Amino acid sequence: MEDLLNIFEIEKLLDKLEEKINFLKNLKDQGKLSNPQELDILEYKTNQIIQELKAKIHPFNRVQIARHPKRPVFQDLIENVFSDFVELKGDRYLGDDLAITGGVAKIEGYPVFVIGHNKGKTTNEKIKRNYGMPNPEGFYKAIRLMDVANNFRTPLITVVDTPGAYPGDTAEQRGQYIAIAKSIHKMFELDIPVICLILSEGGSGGALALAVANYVLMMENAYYSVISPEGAASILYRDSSKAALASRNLKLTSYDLLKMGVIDEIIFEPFMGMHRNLRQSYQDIKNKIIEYLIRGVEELKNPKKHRFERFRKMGIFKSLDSVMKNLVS
Amino acid sequence: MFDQWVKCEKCGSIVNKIDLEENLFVCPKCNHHFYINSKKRIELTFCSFQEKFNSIKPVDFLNFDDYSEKLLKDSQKLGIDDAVIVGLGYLLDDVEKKYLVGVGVMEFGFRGGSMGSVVGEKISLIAEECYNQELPLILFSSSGGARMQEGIISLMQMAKTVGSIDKLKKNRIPFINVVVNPTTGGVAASFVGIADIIIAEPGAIIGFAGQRVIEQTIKKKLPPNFQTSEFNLNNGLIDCVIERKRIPSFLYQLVSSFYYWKNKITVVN
Ligand SMILES: [Zn+2]
Repeated sequence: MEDLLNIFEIEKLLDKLEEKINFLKNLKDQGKLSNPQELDILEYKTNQIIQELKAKIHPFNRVQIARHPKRPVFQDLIENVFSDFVELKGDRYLGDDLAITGGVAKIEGYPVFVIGHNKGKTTNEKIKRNYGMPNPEGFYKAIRLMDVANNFRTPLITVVDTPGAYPGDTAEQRGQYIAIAKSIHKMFELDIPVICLILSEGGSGGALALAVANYVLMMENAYYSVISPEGAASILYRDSSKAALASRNLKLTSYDLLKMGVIDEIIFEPFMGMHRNLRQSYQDIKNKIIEYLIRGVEELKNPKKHRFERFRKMGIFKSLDSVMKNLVS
Repeated sequence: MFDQWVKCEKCGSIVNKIDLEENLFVCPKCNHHFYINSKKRIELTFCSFQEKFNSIKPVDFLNFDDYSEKLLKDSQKLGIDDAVIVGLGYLLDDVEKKYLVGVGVMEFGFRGGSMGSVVGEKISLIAEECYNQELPLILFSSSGGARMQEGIISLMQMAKTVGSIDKLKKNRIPFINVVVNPTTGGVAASFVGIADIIIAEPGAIIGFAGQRVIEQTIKKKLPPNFQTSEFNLNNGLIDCVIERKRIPSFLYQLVSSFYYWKNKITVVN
């Protein structure tokens, strides 16, 4: 059995502690706190608890946080990180897939194009948006808007948050695999800097279709994986309840991916997830995107070439060529 | 007294002409976007505009019925030579006149905005001007399609305009098309259909075949929203539906994005 933390219990505990701290802070502000040390001790203890729990957090706990019902979605970023957003819809062909949203926007005054998986917030909206699982037309819309961004010579920000491409019969009939392949391909053709943020769920090919970027940033509690932990568990262990074990083995956390060079930087979150301090989280995301946007514009002499080289070097293997050479000489 | 008032074609409300004009010819009751002529459109969209290529005139080369007379009649009525005005201009929000754009505005009042040799040539010329000067191109389409009186040469304008716009695409110069009611047939199926961004006014008809032809073919009544902007949007065919009064500022947002980054991102091979 995997040693999982119960994130909902921990949140309840954190809520209680925070409530108490706020209560004491209020008293202090009103000059009614008889023992000022009481507040310091409580804050110290709370911090200690957090540090202890942080060390114990299991990879699957991060998957749980990434899927937390209160976690912000791309729509929240459009409203709180970006401004002046105007949505551009449709693939000009099959339809308008609401699982992916794209358009023009600004970030701190800089004009950008944004494209991302959009899960939706209310139940109705989630159904309408298919829980952020695109059909082929979603990818074709993304591809089309990538071309538009390229023609406007405007940097592109992509946001990844999908359990995966939609595994449906009609999606297959219309060539889900071709749509994903074409989206990956398109991202290699762009002459603009592309920055990708893995916001929460980076589910396999459906995620990669928007993630072939010059810089890939990742939220601390997001996951990015070749297959969902449940999917891996049911294939490898014939038991989807072993998702926790699978997620540990898959090495899908931001820390793992940074070590392997798959991502460029982790954007840290408040303990137990960004929903616990939204304002701070939005500000941190905004700052990081701007930092990489400026870096992309100033440092990349050839964004397309840089992107190719970034992905060309992905792969871990050993080569017998050098061994053979040594034997010969 | 009566000519102070107009009846809304859609909701039937009686609207004061001055109120209507102040509302950019949009019904204050039902948001119906009235027809405005190309000169008015230019006035409502650009703070300065200079017409180009106006020496190009139509010819009745097929001696098609009374085509010559019809051309003469329309040009006398509207004070233009054919169904498009092209030129260079600055958008309304661009008070500093920083971002020059190529412009083409089609005139539905002239032969139903149909595209013959002159429309095709002017669209190609302004696209080439945009290519040479690296300017974004903004077209307002409004057309029943290809011009029958110029026969197969009209059909060829579809290919010619797409070919000219393709040069913009290959050189990463944006082309925005604003769809004005109606945009159908050969114009929809050529340069409009390949725009980077297709914006439509609410309630505009956009499609290929005429509704009567479709109804006769499929022997069914079409739904009331068929081929409207909203229908097109829901079917993934256009980018957005934007009200007349917001169109200039949105165009400015797009154009300024291009100009903002144009010289900042250079690709060194
Ligand atoms: Zn009305």
